[in-house]
Amino acid sequence: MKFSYNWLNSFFKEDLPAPEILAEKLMMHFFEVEKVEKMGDDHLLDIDILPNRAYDCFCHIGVAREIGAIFDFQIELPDIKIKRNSRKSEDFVNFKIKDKEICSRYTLRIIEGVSVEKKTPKYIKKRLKVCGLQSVNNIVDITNYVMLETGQPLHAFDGEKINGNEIEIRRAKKGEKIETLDGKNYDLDKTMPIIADKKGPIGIAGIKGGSGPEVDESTNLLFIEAANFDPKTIRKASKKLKLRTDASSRFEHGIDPELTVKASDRAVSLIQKHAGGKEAKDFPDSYSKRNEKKVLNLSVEKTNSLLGTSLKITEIESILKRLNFKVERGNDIKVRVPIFRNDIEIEEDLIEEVGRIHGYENIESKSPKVTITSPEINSELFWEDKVREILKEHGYAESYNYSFINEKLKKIFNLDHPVEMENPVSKEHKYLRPTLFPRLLENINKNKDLENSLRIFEIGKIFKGKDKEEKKKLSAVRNDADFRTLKGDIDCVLDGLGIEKVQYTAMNKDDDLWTFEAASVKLKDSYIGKVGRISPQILEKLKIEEEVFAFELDMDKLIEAASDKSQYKKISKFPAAIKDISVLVPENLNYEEFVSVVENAGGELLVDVDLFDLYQGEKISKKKKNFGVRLFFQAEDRTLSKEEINKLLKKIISTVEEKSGWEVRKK
Amino acid sequence: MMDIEKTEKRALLEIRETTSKKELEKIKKRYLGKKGEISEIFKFIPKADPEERAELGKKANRLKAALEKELKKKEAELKKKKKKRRVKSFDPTLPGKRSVSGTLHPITRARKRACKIFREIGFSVVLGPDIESVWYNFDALNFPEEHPARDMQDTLFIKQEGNPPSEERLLMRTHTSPVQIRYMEKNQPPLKIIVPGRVYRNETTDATHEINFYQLEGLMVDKEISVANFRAIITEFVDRFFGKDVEVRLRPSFFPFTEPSFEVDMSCSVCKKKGCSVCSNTGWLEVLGAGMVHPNVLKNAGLNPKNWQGFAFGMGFDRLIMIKYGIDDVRLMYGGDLRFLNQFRY
Repeated sequence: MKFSYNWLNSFFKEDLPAPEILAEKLMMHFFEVEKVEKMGDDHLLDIDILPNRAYDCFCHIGVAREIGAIFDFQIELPDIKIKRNSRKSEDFVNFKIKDKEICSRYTLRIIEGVSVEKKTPKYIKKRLKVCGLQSVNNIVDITNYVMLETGQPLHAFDGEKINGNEIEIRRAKKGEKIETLDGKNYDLDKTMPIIADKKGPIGIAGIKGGSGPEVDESTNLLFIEAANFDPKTIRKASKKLKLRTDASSRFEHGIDPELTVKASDRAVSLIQKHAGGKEAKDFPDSYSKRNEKKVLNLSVEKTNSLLGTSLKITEIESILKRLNFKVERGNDIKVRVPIFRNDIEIEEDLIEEVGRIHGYENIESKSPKVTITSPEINSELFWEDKVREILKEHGYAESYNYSFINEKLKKIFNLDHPVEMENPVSKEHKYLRPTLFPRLLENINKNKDLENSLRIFEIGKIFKGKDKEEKKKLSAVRNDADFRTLKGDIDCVLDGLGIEKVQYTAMNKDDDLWTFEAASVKLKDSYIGKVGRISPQILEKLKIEEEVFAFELDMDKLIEAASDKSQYKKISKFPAAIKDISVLVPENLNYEEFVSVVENAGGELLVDVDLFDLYQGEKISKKKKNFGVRLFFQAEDRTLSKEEINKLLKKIISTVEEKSGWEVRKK
Repeated sequence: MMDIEKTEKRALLEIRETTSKKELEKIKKRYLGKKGEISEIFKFIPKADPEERAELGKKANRLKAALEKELKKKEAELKKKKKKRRVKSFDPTLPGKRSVSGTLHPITRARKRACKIFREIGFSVVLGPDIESVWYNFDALNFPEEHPARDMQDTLFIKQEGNPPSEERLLMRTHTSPVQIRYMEKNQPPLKIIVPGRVYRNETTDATHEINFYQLEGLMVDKEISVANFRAIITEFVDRFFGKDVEVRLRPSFFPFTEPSFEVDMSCSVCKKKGCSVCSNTGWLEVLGAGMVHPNVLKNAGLNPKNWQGFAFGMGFDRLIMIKYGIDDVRLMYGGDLRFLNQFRY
């Protein structure tokens, strides 16, 4: 919010420090000053007033009070002089608050005989300009000026343009419309607060005035409205109408109801000084809900315990007094809160006041006195990070993608009912991702001209279904591999997690995402993901030409199964004997089936079987394939004799050859 | 005896054709070793015909001498060759041939580093859900209903069927603070936790704003935790995270869930408070928001504020990383561009 340095200075006898120094002080004791800018002979201070202090500090007097507290200066408010005539307010207007929820106080000032002019006193014009407001005419400028000074929005209108001399504050009726001062039209509904005369709405209460009773150079009878409207009602209406004004933003945050008279006094006084006229001898003021006066107890011990200071009671009292609190000493300090400080509700609020005026820079570091507890390891992150390290070792780059996908990706990947945002930032971010693949494949596309070999992975949350369930997934994509390489990468991950074995089952047909060269992965009969080749149709739509192999695994299930209980296996002192065999088998035979036959025949002396050759092609019959495997024989207690090994090998060969369609080619 | 001449021819050929020292050793063993062919010949001599013995002995000795000579010659040759294996020019500035290695995302790296620092000073790492209810994200954290304070965090709501009560409305968490409540509900003080996690805002993206980004939340609750303690802990963290002596300053701020609240700045690690473009010439960088946990928050989580007090803080992790590595656009973090990611290799 914009403030004029000269204006702030005008409340003090003393000279304030230079604008930059003032800004620094405000930042350390009040709020951040985002900008200091010289404007003519004045300076603009742009202060970031946060919502808790909007109530009393969306105005120059509020900020001046803070400055007074920081520097221990007395603040002086301008004099008020009002000239009255002998007419009664009821001769001009009657008003009714029909809905008290909307409006807790309504004050109306009636001034007769004003002369509205384009000319406004220079100092007012200049200060308005620093605060970002254009000059309109003397009356509008003064109402704006008083709003910026006191925080109370004022609305001026031409009393002679009110129909039927009656004003109501109520909610709009269905079908009511209004044209506002800027010539725009709004349809009102039953929730919206309005000011109305006999004919209908003349203003949207607390938000913007209507064009009907607009003040212009012919205006003679001037009404000044100073009201206190309900924050929630204003907030809802302003949101619905998509109409935010200086006034509505103030009402949304709440305003001190005491202000209506104080601010309108100041406005009448200024108007009479610069535009003439006399006020009626009384003014209507309906005040239904007064703020309670608050008295709080502040403990010196608690103050020092929370701040980590050793302030004396006198120091604390002095700070509170500078902030306009009244203090009485008892066991604790009894603190009377000034009416304009609605943010002060509990003892801790007072402690904050003491802390910030004392200065946080004056609170020194102290190591906490605490019970010693040893931190727990977060196993979820522990295993996740282990997986990250493993994939990194295998050449993968880690990517973090948006949690959102767009309509296009939803369509390409044929994703059913992804979780939808009610108010997406843009079309790009309409849905939450139900899989990590769409964005990872986009990563491949983005980097395809950069490197031949792309390996990218992500560990992240995905979101699914009606229950808006969130799950953690591990996905990897690469364009330089085949199925077995990806499976090898999964093996490395599983090794790192201490997971012994998973089962792979061929999918046997293409689906939306995968080609038939893909398998589902199961861990102890529970489905944990898929691995394989991504469908070329999808890749084509993403403009990726190469083959891409990928996997996506359920990270939650992997973490659940992970274990770091690896066991040392004794290394045999005796040499292993190695034999190779080569077996022709039917082309649809799974390697796992083949190996289990070999392993069963080999018994426990056959310690390992390695596939070193897989052949399918012209040299052998069409419906066959060839497995070349290396067999490792070893005992823990002796060197195996040639005879023993040959016997085992013979047994393996004969078992294999018993199977129909299996044939040992090289022994 | 023909055998000896054949052996000599074969042996000499083998020696001459050898290119490695290892192979030469094998040949030497095969012919001149204890069980070598020449030893066998000498063993045979006493058994031979007496007339042939002298001739045989001579031949055998000659063979032995010839092989030894040839072996020596070859040994010398190989030694010389080894010394001689020189490239004509040597350029150590040619690019190294690396084996493939991947990279971890800067957020992962920084998160690990931050968690390690906090673990060492006794904080446990805790996680929480990304989809939250209005209760945990706002109500329980003392945000007044229908209040502009909620506008400080532009919220992304999830489309839901039916009309759930307002506190059960689902949203993408706007901060990691809901985890404070979730953790305090289940655990009794003393509490010392940090919470890293992804958070979401309904904001138009630019170089410093993202629709999703990371926060690191901290919470410490015990009997007598103070602002002074917070200063000590956070100074320790910032010092260790940036690996140098940085100054920390607290200044007043407002958050509904803390009282008092403050903003924490650190002295600019780039210019050392002299003023530069990173700190917009102020010498200071805003790194986190913090405060003493509001009594209402303790109450909402089931703790008695008369018995417990503590501090909480939340930092925009992306920003911290950007300062640390000098990254000028937050969008790079979520763009999957390898030219960016590959810079965080080691």
